[in-house]
Amino acid sequence: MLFNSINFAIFLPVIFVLYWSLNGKKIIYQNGLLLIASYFFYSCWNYKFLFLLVFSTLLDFYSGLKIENSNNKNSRLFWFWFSIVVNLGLLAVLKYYNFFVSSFSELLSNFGLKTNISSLNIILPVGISFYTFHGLSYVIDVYKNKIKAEKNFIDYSVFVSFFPLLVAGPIERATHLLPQIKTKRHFEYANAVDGLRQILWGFFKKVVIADNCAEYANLIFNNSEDYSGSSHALGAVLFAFQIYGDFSGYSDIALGSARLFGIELLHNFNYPYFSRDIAEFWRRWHISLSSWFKDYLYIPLGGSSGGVWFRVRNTFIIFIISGFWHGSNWTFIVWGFLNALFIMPSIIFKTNRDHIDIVAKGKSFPSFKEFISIVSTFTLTVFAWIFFRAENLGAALDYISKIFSKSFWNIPEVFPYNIFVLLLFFILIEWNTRDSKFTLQHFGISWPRYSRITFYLLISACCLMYSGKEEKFIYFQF
Amino acid sequence: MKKFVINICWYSALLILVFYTVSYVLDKYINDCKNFKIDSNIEYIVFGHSQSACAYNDSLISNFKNYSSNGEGYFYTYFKVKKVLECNRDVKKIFVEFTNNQFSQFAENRIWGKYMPGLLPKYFTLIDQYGLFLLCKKAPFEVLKALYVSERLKLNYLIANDSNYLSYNKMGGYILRVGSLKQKQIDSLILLNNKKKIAGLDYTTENIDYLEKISNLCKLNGVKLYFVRSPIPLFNQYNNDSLFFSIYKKKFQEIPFVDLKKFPLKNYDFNDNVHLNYLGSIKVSIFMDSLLKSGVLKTDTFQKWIDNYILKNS
Repeated sequence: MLFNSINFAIFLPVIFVLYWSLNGKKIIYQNGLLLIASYFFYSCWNYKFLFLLVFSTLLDFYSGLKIENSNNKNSRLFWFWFSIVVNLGLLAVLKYYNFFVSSFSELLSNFGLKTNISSLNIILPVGISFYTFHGLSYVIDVYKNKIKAEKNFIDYSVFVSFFPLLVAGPIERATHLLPQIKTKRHFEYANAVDGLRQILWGFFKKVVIADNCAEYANLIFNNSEDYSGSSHALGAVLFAFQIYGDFSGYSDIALGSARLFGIELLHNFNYPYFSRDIAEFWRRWHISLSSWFKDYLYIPLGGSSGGVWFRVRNTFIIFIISGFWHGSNWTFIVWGFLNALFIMPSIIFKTNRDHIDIVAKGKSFPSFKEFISIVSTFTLTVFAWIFFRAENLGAALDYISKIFSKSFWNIPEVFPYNIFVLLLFFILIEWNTRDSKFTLQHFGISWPRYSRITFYLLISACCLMYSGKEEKFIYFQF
Repeated sequence: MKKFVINICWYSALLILVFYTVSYVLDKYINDCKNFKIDSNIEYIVFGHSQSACAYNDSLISNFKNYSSNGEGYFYTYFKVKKVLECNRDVKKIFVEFTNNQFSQFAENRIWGKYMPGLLPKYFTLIDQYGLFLLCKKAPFEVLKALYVSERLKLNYLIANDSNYLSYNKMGGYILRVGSLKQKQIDSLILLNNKKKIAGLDYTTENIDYLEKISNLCKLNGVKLYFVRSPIPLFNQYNNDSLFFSIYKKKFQEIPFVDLKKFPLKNYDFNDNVHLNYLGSIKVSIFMDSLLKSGVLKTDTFQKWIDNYILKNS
């Protein structure tokens, strides 16, 4: 079930009303309903893969209990590694097996050797990377005694499969979400309205910004030979807005939906395209994944505690793995590598924490220096996105060579004025609200009631008009 | 909680009101007859799906216009014909593609099936409440989605100040296809066709009902209606001819039927197993031009005239 589908528009209010009608009863009823709703939500995509989700949940739940109840160090270690290996093994087989096989065969063929390993004809279960990482973080935290193992299977299952975050995150932590699931929730009007505002802006980002940009980005990326360098550059910029609108829009809908049920999810995006350097960009883009890698990979590897080369090594490792997490294609690995490369000056000169606050805080406009930093960071990001979007490395390199050709100075064949108007409106609103947790949190709050409602109606009408296509979310494939 | 639900209901009602007000204003703008005017010299119009869209190059046929559109069932054609006749009182002769693939259960694809997302948004503004009710019965969610897309399309026309709603890419037109069938393709298509022969046992009645409505509409407006069957490759002849002709005899016998099914063409005149490419369409269009100019269509012997031409040139 897609967030931008009519099915979801029916599903969400029905579950919302049922959920709050159970308010006076024991919390197990509310959690039970959330679990049933989440499994139903997942089954709408492919019910056959529900067993995998249940299996993964059972595995981590049981491993967590075993780790906590074992007095023996070896037994703890066994259950810890058992869970890690099975989780990552499933991910490796279902997501990466074909990639490994084809890469291995290509490598051997370079030496004139032929292999007969056949690839698997399997569908990648939606959300597997996300729920596997949920489970992994839980088992690691239990092993490290950061949290107690959960004894209630329903509560734990809701933590893994809560429908707003099930298929594309944010990647939650047991330390953050489980206590909320175990605590009785009460309906708060202001919180629910806030949630709806966040959902509304999420829809706007997805159906109005991302899907419109996608139309032209796809046209240029899929018919590269028909377009000039300038159109290629434009296509890459449009893709940058597409992926931002798509993924941050998804996150906003997820966070807003969770808030309707009285649950706060982790913040996932914080105006990344206003970043002044790549280090800041990565503190603002897909925050739940970046912090996951920081806590469970970067810090265990030694983090920033060693010398320069130690930090450089660790940074490359997490960026390349992060790239690989996105998909089984060399393009994602190169995308991760490029981002590691772009962040290097900040790592080497220890300037990676120079820009913690949002740019031009309390001001209407950035300084000239800040503006140049934002534009150059955005340009580097757009460059890396080309690899993320391209079908393969060859196509990405062709695309880039087209940008750096003479035809870059031609007038682009594609010039969607309507998209530029929408983008300008979008950027202006986001710029004006960049110190809020989400765009519509404070925007328009001080306006007269009727002006505010008119503004929301305008955004809602825009979303309706653009919602007929029901385009998939990019991150569903990961 | 109660206050929240009430406010949501109010907001939704307000949103629906705003949406329908915008929709009403846009419909008023789009439905204006000036958006459906065709040149005064046009005497003949052909309506249909992709077969006729690819067959008749209207730039080669005098006083002739092609308003066929990909995947279109008679349901959509009816509303298009209705609007065109309402806004162009001088049009007195129309052709409607009358071919076998409209007489199968798969024809529902052309109304509420897989072609609907491409067709309904364009025609939404023309469809009456009975038509919408029929679609809502069959595919309610798709209708809702098409409504949203339709409003966006209309808004785009308004912003672009584009006044001709009938022009190509909106409600049809000649489709130029390049590329010819190769023997290898023909072999695989023959195999495929054998597997997927039109059953001919069942058909979508609603599609035929709307063809009858077109016929009645033409009678009411004093417009001469002709059926036309465009050529298809010899290797891909339909096997539901008996059903096809039984329906024709039962319901449409008084309507003249221009049958070009066996029009002499080579495989290289086709783009695939049903559509003509530009080479084929040139031949058919030149023939059509001469047929219209000859005046033979006014007589009862026109099919004999056509058959003689086919015999001579086969």
